[in-house]
Order: sequence, then structure tokens, then C-alpha cells
Amino acid sequence: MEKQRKMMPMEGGDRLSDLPESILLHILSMLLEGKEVVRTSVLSRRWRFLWMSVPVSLFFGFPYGENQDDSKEVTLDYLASVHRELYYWKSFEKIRRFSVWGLRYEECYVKDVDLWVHFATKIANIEDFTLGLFNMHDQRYEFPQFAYKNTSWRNLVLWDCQLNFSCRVNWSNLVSLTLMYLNYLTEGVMENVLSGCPNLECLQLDGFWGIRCLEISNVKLRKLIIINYEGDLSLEILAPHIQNLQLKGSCRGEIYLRNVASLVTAVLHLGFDIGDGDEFQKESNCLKQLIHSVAPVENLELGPWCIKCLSILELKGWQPPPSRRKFLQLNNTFEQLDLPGICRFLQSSSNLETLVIDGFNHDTTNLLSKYINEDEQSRRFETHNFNCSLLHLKTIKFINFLGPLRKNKSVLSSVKYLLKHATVLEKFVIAAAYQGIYKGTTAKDYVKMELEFPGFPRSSPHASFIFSY
Amino acid sequence: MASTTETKQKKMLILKSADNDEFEIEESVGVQSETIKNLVEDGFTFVPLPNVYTKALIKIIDYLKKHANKTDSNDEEIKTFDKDFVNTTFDDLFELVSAANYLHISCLMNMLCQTIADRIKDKSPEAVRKIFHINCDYTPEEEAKIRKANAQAFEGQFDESLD
Repeated sequence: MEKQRKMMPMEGGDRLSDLPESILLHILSMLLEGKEVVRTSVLSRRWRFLWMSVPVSLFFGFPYGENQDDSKEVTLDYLASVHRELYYWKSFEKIRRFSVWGLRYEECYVKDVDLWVHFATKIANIEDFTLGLFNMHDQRYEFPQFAYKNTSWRNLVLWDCQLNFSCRVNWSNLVSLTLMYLNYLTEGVMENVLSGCPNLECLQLDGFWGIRCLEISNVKLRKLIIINYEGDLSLEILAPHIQNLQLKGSCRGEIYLRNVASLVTAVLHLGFDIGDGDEFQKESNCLKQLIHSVAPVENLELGPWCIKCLSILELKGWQPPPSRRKFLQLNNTFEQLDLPGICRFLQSSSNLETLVIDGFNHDTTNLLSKYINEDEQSRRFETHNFNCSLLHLKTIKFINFLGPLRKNKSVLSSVKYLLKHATVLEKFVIAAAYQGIYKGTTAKDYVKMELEFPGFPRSSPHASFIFSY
Repeated sequence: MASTTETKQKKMLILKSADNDEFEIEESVGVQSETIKNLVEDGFTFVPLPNVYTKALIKIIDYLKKHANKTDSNDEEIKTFDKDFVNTTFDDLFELVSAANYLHISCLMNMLCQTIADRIKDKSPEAVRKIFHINCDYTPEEEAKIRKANAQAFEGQFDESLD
């Protein structure tokens, strides 16, 4: 083992300065203001250059004024303080993160923002850069040309900026790229970005339109997240190397997967705004195709909208294709109405090993009630044959359900249904959500469940219940 | 089905301080230290700590035991414990921070460094020197030069008190 210098107590001596450099840097990194750190340079020779090596993360979030009138003043004050702070940080050698967030952008700030980007590209060797602007006056910040070449960034987040290239992008060390509210995005821009980021592993696009076909051939890019696709026309995704795909938020146009051959995990948390008059042919077709495309995928997660939609499709007689999925997570505190759709979907999941039902994302829209009422659906559920064989299902978890469950009809029905069909079930976990006003009633409810649930008929002799609340 | 007759015995570790005192602790308590964890993963149950003296080790074992039993309900209790833990002399703090650094216990390291940093915060350089007995070895000319290089950092009012 490496022998380190033993610290001997020095009576009244300067034991702080005697600490190893790494510890002194750790102490200095706990000082919040750049000025504080810089001032230590004057303490003694030992401290002269230490401050420059302090690893720091800089985060600036613009405050809001009380009312419209003084908001401009507040913004200008904060702007000045950011510049003052950056003045001190500019000599630091290890700024890992630099994040500016929440400036309501107007053209008069262009020079200020340029200075931040300059700081992030040329002055400090920053690894993580976040530029979050709010587009309030329909004036958009154009990401400057000098920033399209950078080799120190590993994570880049741009919010509400305009990307206009007149040169090739070279972000050769970028691992994660998040582009939010870029609005109009063309295939040319995307291609330029993707070819300039050979080491990219994760790409997130949020709030955009303009691209019809997103083609990703980057071999290292494994994770793709698409949120709030705002195009009116459909979007095709060709990404043969990605392993993790997440489609989220509210979409206008449909999204189709043309080639996702390496996919292991898919999260379909997207939804569409459906007007009252719509028959939502387009949207349900989109979901059907997505379900087809992810049938070979090992892990699948569905959001509230998709779950509702499954029940509508079930009413119309649609059969989901057989799948290879082993893990399924349903994010919804579903109601009686949803059960047939979910059971039909479970029928197509015969390889399932783990089922998680997460009540955290509660959906309040009444998409389904337009098609069928609750009583009718309950009757269908009881009389219809929703038998399925879940020959591999070993673990079931109900998590994040809020409030008492014991009298919740859909929870009871689904617990009974699952106990009946999961023949090799080992563990049935029921865990309450964060507790608040329901704390007392939830606890009582769980105590009763612990007594009642194990008495339900079940097909697996080894199944045990675990309650946590 | 696996046999259930085997009694569950907690795995124990022996830590040996720099003054050759030995302490027996549960493995689950010890592995909060990255240094100990690495040794445990390599199969060691006897861990010599040549850089950690008995006095600091006793306090650190206390800390690890307390934090190993962290739950939602004893949050307040741990906060009070932590507050008492850092309420000690500088000599103790420096001894502890060196030990925590050697043992790689990051939450303890952060807490100790924050405690020391809090004594630097807002103070004038003169006050910091006095608080920590830092001997200024600059010539007056050198000091003036350094202050001038970052003049704005030295502007304004500072806390001159020594507490």
C-alpha cells in the first residue's frame, strides 16, 4: 500500500495549509462565489495558484420581477452580475459545467449571449454547457458560427436557439445533445449535426417540425428521445443502431419507425390532442404501427394516452401482434374502462417476466368514455374471454398509487385477474405513493389489504405479496 | 426450495487504526467507505488503515453506523447528529477530513469541507489568516501585486470577526 505522509499535529501551526492539495481544492470548491475563491490567492504562497484548479460548476438562472414593469430592470441587473461572475471564473482551469437559464431573449441581448457562448467555447474548457433562452418576443438567438467547432463539450443543451450553419459542425467529443424548441429543423441541419458528432450517444429533440425523415447512422448513438413532435406531417425514424427509444409529449403528426433493428427498450409516452369531432383514425393507426414496430423489443413502457387508445382499439376488434417483450410498464392509474384493452395487450405478451403498473402519471382525459360507458365495459370484462397465458410472469409491481386501494374496483379486478393467469408468479408488490393527506387512511387500507389479498384465488402456489407503505 | 435453517450471521470486518487499535464493525456499515468497499470486494475482512488514527476512526465509525441506518423517519435525528459531529476543534476537523479523504466517504468529505469553507466565507483574508494561523510569507510588494491582479475580488466589506 502506498505510504502517505502522516500528519503530525503542529502546536498552533498552520494545519489547514498542510492538508494535501486535493483536500484544499475540495474545501475551496464548497465556496459559492468566484470572488471568495479568488481572494484565497492572497493568504500565502501555498494558496497563490490553488484557486485556479478548483473544480467548479456554474449555474445562472434568471430571476423574474414582480411585475412586467420592473422585469426588464431585474433582467439587466442579473445580466450584469453574470458578467461580473464570469470575469472571476475566466482564469479557472476546471469548469466542468456552465449553465445559463431563463433569459427572456430580445435582440438587444445578442452580444451578452455571444459572450457566454464565447466563454463556453474559447475561454474555459467546459464539458457541460447549457444555454436556455426563452423566446418571448419572436426574436431568436442565432447560435454563433464560432461555436460550431468545439472539442471540449461532452454534454450540450440548447433551448430556443436558431441553428444556421454555413460551415461543417465539429463537436467531436459530444456525448449527449439536447435541442429544445428549435422549431423549424431541416434534414440538412440534422445531417450536419449528426455527422459532426461521431461520439454522440444520446440525442434528445424536443419541440420541432420540418424534418420528415430522421436518419441516424451514428454507430455510437444508442439513445434517442423525441418529445413534442410539432410537425403536421408524419415523421419517419430510421435508426438501426439505437437501443433505447423514447417518444414522449404531445404530438401533432404521427411518428413511424422504419428501422430500429437494435432496439432493446422502448418508451411510448406520447399522446395526441384529439378534438371532439375527430375519429382519430390517423392517431390510432400510428399507435398500431408503433406497437408492431416494438413487438420484438425486450422492455416496453406505455403512457396514459397509449393505454386508453389500446382499449378503443380493443373495442374495434384489434389484436396486438405477438411480442417478445419480457418487461412491461404501464404508466396510468387505470380505470375499469381500461381493463379489456390492457388484458388484450397482455395476451400478446406471453414472454412477459415483469409487469409494473405505475400510478404516478394519472390521465384525466375521457378519451374512452366517448366510445363506451363504464358499466358496459365492466360487463364485457366479466363475460368476455380475456384469458391469457402468462407462463413466465414472475414479478408484478403496483407502484405510486395514491390513497386507499382496497375498494378501488379496477385495482381489485386487475389483481384478481393477474393472480388467476400468472401461473409461476413469485412476487406481487403493492407500494403506496408518496404520502400526504392520505397517510393515515393509506396505512389502514394497506393493513386490511395484507389480510385480504393473500386469500384471493391464484394459480401460482409460490406467489407472495409484499406491501410497502 | 433452499434450506432456511442456516442462521443469518452478519458479516463482520476488522479495521486497524494507525495506532494499532482494532475495531470490529458490520460489513454493511464499512462499505460506505469506497476504500473499504474495494478491499471487501477483493475478499479482505481485515483492513489496516495506516493513515487513520484511533481518535478519528472512533468518530468515523460512529458516523458510518448512524448513516447506515438512514430511513425516512430518522432524518431529523441524523441532521442533529451531523451538526454535533462537525462542532469540534479545527485540529479534529483536519484529522477527520484527512481520514475521510483516505477512506473515500464522499458525503462525510463534503460535510467536513463545507464546515471548513464556511469559516472562510465572507471573511477578509486577514481574518482567515488569523482563524487558521496561516503565516503570510508574501512580501508587501508581492501581496499588493496579487491584490491588484484581481482587484474587484477585494472590493467591498468583509467580515473581520474571528468566530
